[in-house]
Amino acid sequence: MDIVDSSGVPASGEYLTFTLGKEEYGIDILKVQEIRGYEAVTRIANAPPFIKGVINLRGVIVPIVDLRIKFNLGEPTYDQFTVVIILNIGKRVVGVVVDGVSDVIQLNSDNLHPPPEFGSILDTRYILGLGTVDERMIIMVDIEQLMTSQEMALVESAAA
Amino acid sequence: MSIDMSQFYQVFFEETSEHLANMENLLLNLDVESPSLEDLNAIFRAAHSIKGGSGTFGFTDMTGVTHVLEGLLDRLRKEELTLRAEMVDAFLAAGDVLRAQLEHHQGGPDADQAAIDEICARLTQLATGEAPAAIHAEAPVPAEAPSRQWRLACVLPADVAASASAVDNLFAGLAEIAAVDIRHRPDAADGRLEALLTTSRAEGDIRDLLGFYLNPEDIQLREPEETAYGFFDAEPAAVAEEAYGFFEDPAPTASAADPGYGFFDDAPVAPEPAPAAVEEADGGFGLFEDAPGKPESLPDRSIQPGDSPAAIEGQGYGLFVNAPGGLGLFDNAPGMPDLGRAPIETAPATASPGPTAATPTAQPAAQPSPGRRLTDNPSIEVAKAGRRENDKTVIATGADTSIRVSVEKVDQLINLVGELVITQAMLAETASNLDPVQAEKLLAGIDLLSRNTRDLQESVMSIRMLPMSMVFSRFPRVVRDLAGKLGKQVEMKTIGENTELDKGLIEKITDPLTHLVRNSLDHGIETPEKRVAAGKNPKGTLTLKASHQGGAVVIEVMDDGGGLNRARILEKARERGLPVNDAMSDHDVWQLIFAPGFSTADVVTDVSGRGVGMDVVKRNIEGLGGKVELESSPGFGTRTVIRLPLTLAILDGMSVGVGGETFIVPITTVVESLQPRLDDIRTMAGDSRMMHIRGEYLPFIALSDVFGLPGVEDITRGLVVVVEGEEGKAAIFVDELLGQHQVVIKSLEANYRKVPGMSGATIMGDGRVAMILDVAAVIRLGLANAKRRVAA
Amino acid sequence: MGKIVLTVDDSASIRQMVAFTLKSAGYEVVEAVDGEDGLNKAKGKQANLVLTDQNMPKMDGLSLIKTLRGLPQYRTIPILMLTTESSDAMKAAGKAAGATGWLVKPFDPQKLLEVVKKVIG
Repeated sequence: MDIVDSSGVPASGEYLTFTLGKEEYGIDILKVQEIRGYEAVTRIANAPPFIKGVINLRGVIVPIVDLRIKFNLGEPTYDQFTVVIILNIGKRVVGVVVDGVSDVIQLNSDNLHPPPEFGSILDTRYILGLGTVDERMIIMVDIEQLMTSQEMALVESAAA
Repeated sequence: MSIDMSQFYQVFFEETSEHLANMENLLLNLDVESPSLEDLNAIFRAAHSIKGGSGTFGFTDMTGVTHVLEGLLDRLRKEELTLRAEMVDAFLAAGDVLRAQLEHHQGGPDADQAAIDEICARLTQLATGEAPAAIHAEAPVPAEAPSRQWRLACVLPADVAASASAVDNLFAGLAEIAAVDIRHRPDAADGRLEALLTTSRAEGDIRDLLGFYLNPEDIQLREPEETAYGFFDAEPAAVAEEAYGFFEDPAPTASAADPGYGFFDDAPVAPEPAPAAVEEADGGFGLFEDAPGKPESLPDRSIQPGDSPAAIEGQGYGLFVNAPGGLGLFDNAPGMPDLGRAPIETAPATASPGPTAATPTAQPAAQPSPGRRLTDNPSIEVAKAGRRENDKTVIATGADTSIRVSVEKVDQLINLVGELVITQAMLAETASNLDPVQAEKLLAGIDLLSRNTRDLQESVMSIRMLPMSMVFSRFPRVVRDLAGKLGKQVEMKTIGENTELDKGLIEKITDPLTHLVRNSLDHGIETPEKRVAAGKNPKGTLTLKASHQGGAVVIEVMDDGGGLNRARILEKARERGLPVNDAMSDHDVWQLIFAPGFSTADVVTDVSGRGVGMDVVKRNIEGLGGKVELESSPGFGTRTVIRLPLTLAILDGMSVGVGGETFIVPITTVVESLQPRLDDIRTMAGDSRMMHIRGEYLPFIALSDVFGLPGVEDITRGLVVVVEGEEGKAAIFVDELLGQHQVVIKSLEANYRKVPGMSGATIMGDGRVAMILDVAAVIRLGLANAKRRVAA
Repeated sequence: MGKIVLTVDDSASIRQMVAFTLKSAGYEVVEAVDGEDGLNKAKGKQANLVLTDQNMPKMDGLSLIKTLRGLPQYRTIPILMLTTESSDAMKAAGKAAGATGWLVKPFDPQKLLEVVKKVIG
């Protein structure tokens, strides 16, 4: 099976894995700009709760999204271990708060399985497939598709 | 070697649009009755440059149009045709066609072929219509035009006449194109220049040469009363003989060159136009070396007397070997490289190669007499100064003094400086906690840093500044076209077009200004009949003015038309249910025009409505952080005043705190700030609150409500900032005032999206992000909140 | 060191093309934006060849050639006139002004190199 993400890149290569609650997710490492600790954000008025606010990343105003809130994974805590993955999605820079970053894995289409129709907090539209590494199941996410989706409310909708 | 021509396209595109804009500008300012030759020349040059460039880079469709265009222009500048209004129209239309073609080459839509054909036909018809015989616009002047005499009389400008070397230069120049008999040599005491010229060259050439030294209008060039050759009667034969004698010298050497040289200098009356010979002797080499004897080395064919001046003529280029007159004496022009390659078989001279003369080192031996010296630098300076006076060149290429840089690079620089400003502010904030005595040096350094940073920021911002002429320059065409359509006579004036404004603002102000200009023409300025009936000049005036006032740029659009009709505006406002009364000040009445939807025909002026889209104009300008106001006087005209911040990149703001967050209120919107008293606040219809300030009741809007923040509840513990937005004034309640800053505006949309109530964000001294309020939107949100509560 | 060519043209694209072509062939190129600029540049740095356009603001090509020919250091330097007008009148005027030759616009880089090589090698 040939799995292709929204940017047309076949889903084999290096992936950064991170945890949200008890689940482990993987995203294309090429989309990751850097990983930082969580710092105080400036709130954005009337934004959905999972949009924490914006930070100053070396002079660029970057929105911060807490995926734990978005996916309802218990009470999010913010401490010195809270991690923000800074992503480069298209020409945009977005920060994502996750519970923790695990490692970088190598995956090719052979150990990728098509996503199930159910069983994940994520809509299958954003799932590239399921990978298995050392008995762990990793949900491979099309992060670009997800972050530019209407429901993330990060991008001006076309109608607006 | 193969060279990719496409790498030069971008420069060609840029310079061609400049030429087109310049051409249009010159055309619009051209006085059809008496066009200045200078302007016609400049227009010709623009067309000519486009032709040359488009041909070189393969955009032959443009070459075709410019060729016809140039042909007509050439005839105009040579005064073979008289300029007519329809020609200007045709030129403008041709400019439009060329612009369309240019856009097509830059990836735009196809240019309209019918329009291209039409304009070419029109130009051709204009060029030939008056003189059908001369189909070739650039009819070549016969190379061997018969010599004729001219009587030249003029008075040199004092500075030229006073410089002996400048006068020498002038005569030397004349000697190159004509045999000159000096009748009166100008000097410091008497600048009169009188001379008889014998030449086969056109009158224009003589004028061109003299134009270098004095105003062309002051040159008198007439055919002399004397018979054609009377002037030479003195000793023509001797002169002729001597002239030939020199070149026939059987053993010419470098030293032999001297007498010949002297001859031409002393006797510039040589009956044959011998410029090239002089030039040749001047060159000091080559003349003898390649004298006859090696005709076989001529590359392609032999040169015959009377041939075209080109001897070695390849495809599209040539190297001069033969003299214009075909005399065969001047076998070589200066600078010919391989002399053996350019011999001449027709030269009557029998000169044998003279080794000493063959080398350029022999040149000093052929030292020209003082009369021929052209080398004095001061004289060239004088010549330049004389020329510059009547040279109003419009094109400012200045490749030396300016560089083209992409806006991206400039913006990156501005961003980096913005970072530096923030870092500096952070440093300053941290340092403010230090003991001023202990950290004296550090604090002084930070102080200096802040000054330097500010200067740097200003300098960098100025890179983005462009003159208002960038916008104003498009209006002469708009006014011309629209006035023609409306049957009105309008003169457009611009004042202060050098006033600079940020590039971003320049781009965004164009549409609102166009709207205002069109309104003025359409509804402001009356028809000529009406103006005459009102005792006014039939020609109306539209003035565009830009100036700096404080930290703002003020742009004014003024017309001397009929002005606004107060009664009608009030009437219309009542119809629309707007709160008006007859006692309202004019100022307030005029502002009604900006009300949304206040736009129907025959409302304001007798013709139709000035209200068309004025609300849009106002919104656009306020969107740029600016303000717009109207002044009008019945019968005398209307003035629209636009105030804009200098730049979109930085903003003077007041920082306020609400619920632990910091917000920036643009200072341009702040009327005042004050501590509210409980009894200033009135509650209306339940939860909707008003604040009573100096006799006015203003909506009282708590920022914490608008943004859902845990702000101060107790009115007496907070502060009110009175702001004025497009919806009017409002009292904004905040927790505290934090200070005033110049902030660097950052986009929220770059990585996120537009946030209601915010116009952007900035980074504060502590590195945190603060939102910049969109005051008008905040007021709207606040009022909507209040309404919701009332409804609930 | 390469020979120095002074190119005088008010058109930036033509200048760029000429400069690029000649530089690629190992010449050193000095650019000037009009006749006046050309004259100053010519005085500032001795060129081995001058290529000048005819129609330019401030000072046209013919005036430049005439003025250059008056300078001792340019009396024998080859000067080529770039012109869109290949008329005999223009050639005669160029010749009279002291031009060494002419080159008709539009021209392509090969043609330019061919002529320049012919003149200064």
